[in-house]
Amino acid sequence: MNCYDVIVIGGGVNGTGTARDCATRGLKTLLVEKNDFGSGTSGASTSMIHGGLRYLRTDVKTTKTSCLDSGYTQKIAPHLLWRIPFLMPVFGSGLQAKIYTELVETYLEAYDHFSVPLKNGRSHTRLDPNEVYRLEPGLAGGIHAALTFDEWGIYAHRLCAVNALSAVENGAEALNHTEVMGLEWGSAEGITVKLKDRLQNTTSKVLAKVVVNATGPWSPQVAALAKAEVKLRPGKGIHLVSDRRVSNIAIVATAVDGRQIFVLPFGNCSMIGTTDDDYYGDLDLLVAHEDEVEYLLQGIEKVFPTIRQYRWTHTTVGVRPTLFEWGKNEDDLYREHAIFDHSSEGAPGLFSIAGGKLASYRWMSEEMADVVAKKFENKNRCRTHIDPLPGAEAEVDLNVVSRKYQLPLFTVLKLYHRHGCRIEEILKETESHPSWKRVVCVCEPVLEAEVRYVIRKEWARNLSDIARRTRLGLGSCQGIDCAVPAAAILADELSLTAREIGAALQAFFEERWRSKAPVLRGRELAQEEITRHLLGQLEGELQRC
Amino acid sequence: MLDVVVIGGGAAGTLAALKLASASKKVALVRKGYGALALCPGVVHLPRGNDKGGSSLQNSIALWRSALESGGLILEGGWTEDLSLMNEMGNIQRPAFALQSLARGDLAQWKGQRVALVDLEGLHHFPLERMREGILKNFGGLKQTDIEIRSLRFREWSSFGAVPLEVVSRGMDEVDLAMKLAQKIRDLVRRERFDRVGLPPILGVERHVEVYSIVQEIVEYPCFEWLPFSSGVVGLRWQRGIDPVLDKRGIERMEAKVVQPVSHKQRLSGVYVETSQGRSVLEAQNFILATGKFLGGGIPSSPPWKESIFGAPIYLGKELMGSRSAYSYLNPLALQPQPIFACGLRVDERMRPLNEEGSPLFENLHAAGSLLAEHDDTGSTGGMGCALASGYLAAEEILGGLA
Repeated sequence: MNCYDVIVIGGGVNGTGTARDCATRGLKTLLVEKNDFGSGTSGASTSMIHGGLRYLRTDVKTTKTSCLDSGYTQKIAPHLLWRIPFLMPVFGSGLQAKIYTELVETYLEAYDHFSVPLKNGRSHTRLDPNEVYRLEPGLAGGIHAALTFDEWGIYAHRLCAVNALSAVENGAEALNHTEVMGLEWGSAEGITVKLKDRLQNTTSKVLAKVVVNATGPWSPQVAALAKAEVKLRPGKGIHLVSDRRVSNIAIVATAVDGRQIFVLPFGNCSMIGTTDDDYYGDLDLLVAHEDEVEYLLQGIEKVFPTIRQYRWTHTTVGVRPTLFEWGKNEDDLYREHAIFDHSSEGAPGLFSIAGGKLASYRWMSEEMADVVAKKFENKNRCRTHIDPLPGAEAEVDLNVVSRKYQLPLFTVLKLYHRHGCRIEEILKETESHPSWKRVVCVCEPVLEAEVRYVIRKEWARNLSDIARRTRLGLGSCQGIDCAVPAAAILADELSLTAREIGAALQAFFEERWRSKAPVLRGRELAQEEITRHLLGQLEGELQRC
Repeated sequence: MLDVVVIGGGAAGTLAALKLASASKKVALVRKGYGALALCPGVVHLPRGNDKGGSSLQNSIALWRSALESGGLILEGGWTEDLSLMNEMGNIQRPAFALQSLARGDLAQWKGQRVALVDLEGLHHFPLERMREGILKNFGGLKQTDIEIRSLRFREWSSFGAVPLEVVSRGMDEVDLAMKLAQKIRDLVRRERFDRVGLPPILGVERHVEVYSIVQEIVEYPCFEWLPFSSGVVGLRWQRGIDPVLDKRGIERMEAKVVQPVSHKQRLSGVYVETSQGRSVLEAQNFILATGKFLGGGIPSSPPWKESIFGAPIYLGKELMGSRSAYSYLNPLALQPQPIFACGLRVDERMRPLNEEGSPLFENLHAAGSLLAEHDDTGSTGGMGCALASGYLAAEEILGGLA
């Protein structure tokens, strides 16, 4: 039986971040994830490494650490980030609007003290109505003034994948689609962890001295395997994703209940988010509901009146692992994190980490790894804020790459945003396989070489995994054009049978459907009429499974 | 003054216009641009469970075939037995009729033959081996050795990596390029004895007939195309082929959007149409509404569910859709038929759309095509057959009334 120092359960940012940290300190680490890296809460987040503007009022320390960590993330993975300018319009007129503008400006001025030096932010600016409408003509009338500040967007799916990759490059092992079925004490060598490969349907056992439960909203379930308790108040949040950019700047709006929501640019698309509601349902079958969709559209519409005319291709849904508190509204819950030591519950060596924000994942992982390292009297210092993540080790001249491989600069740029300097490793393969320059997904675009790379190097084992690594199939066609060629590549790489290809396609289309059915309205409904015809042609392929 | 205004240029509207013109009626066909017809897969499935001898279905398809034929396109197939055509994935589809270049790939004819499938680098969804595997599995009686795969690298486009079929197909309208490709194919297969040669569906769009005959002549074997997965190649051939026929038969084609009716009590006297030049009224004795569902714009894709131009109520089965959300009509399983696509207008026995009280909206407005309730053309095949037959019926009702 394989024996590890530490097994980290959960492939979100905290799990992959903790695994990376433990591995770089020299601990023998295994990372297991029951679905895919970044497929849960991390991937469904607003995808921002923000500085914690809203905590400034109540909790200056959180703002400071968030800004600091945002600065670190920019240094260790610059290729995954993009700057998001935010616009906060103030509506109305007269004294009230004037005073409100001053208040907001003062608030942002205070934020500048953290965001400018710590996270390479730009100082806030104040715009008069003429400037605002020139910048964003789509805004509703009646603006008194607007204030700007900025934050950083990030590919959260990729952040998880590169953290896992980094862990492995530092000696860890990583398994996705592997679920922990049991935790047993009794062996002298440590905790026996029962694993199940959910794709192959095989089971195995491994040993670990320490087990870290970093499974976010699932952490109560995992802790329960050891009859231990993690108390959370899970909060569901959804986003709508459009087929194109609605605006190149993020716009802040107020929802009906006074919560702040945004439209923000994300890759080629825009996103609207988010909701925050207590959630008691099945964590493995999350779907957005009509009322949540309507809540967001209604809120944004006040500020951006044409919002309903855009085509919303799909939703993203996640559940926040917020720490438990009684007697508060969802939005007022603290976003701090906590580490639970379950030794007093008869589960020595088991720790859970929960709560927190995507923005400060690295800091949380460091704290968790500190606790683990202490167990082993490991004195190595944390390096995760210094060592570049995979892809950020070197700079790349994209023009040179574009000429060398005769690919459009745009294609190279998009590839760079996902893989950084590893782009060379991906494209090198096209020298011996010229046909791998084929564009598989037109929306992004994604090349065949990239699909093969993520299967070979980044543990992509089904079509949804490929989608998370490359954004294939998440654009305007929602996979109807690219799923089949991607399935063919998957079949080639993993020697799948016809039956398995059918199953892979079916699983992918079911997942896309769950994510798009709640926004199937407007032009999306018209698109679906075509999609359905094409699905009909796949009939035999799907029946084979 | 016009006898009939047909609103909607899909299969149903176009067929209705042809039928009316054949009875020497003065017809205008108003359409927003290319739509359902240009996107259709270019084959005719007969509605399942329908009596194949149904006379309006037969008549409508006969009319459609003869119209396409006068545009140079030949539909092959028959009433008694469906064709067995393979698509890019190696799945089998069974339309009754298909364009000649596709119908020549009928698997029923392959027994005892040697068939070459030409693998053009960078053009396929699946490797051709998989396609062959699919054919052998889905169609009994063929042996692996009957189907040979021959690979060809055609520099003219393989340097781009892959290009969508419709782009390559349009490229083949350049006859020189088509000849070059055909010569390469001939070089590839000439030393062997084949009975037919299969190609991806790329043999031209505008000049498909010419390109197809050139390729056959040069390759010196009977050639066929397999069915594309994506839409936009074969349907576009139909669209391009039928347009000159409409002109020849005196049907006035208008690129415009119909926005509003002009009515007098129970009678529709005209419709407002909007073009880039502005708004005008188109007057006629009778009207046919064939604007499709969500894709065509016949039904706005958000509640309240009312037909776009005349505001007729939309039904799902017998149930009035009213203002319920689209979401409430969806099946949680992706691959199951989605009920919402079976929605549409209810009509009386004379194909006239009904209001909520069950009486015709207008005495001289008839409806056809996928805008009608109950047939979900996305969940089953047979949509083209339904479209053509309903267009034919609507036209007949008008002719009956006029007579």
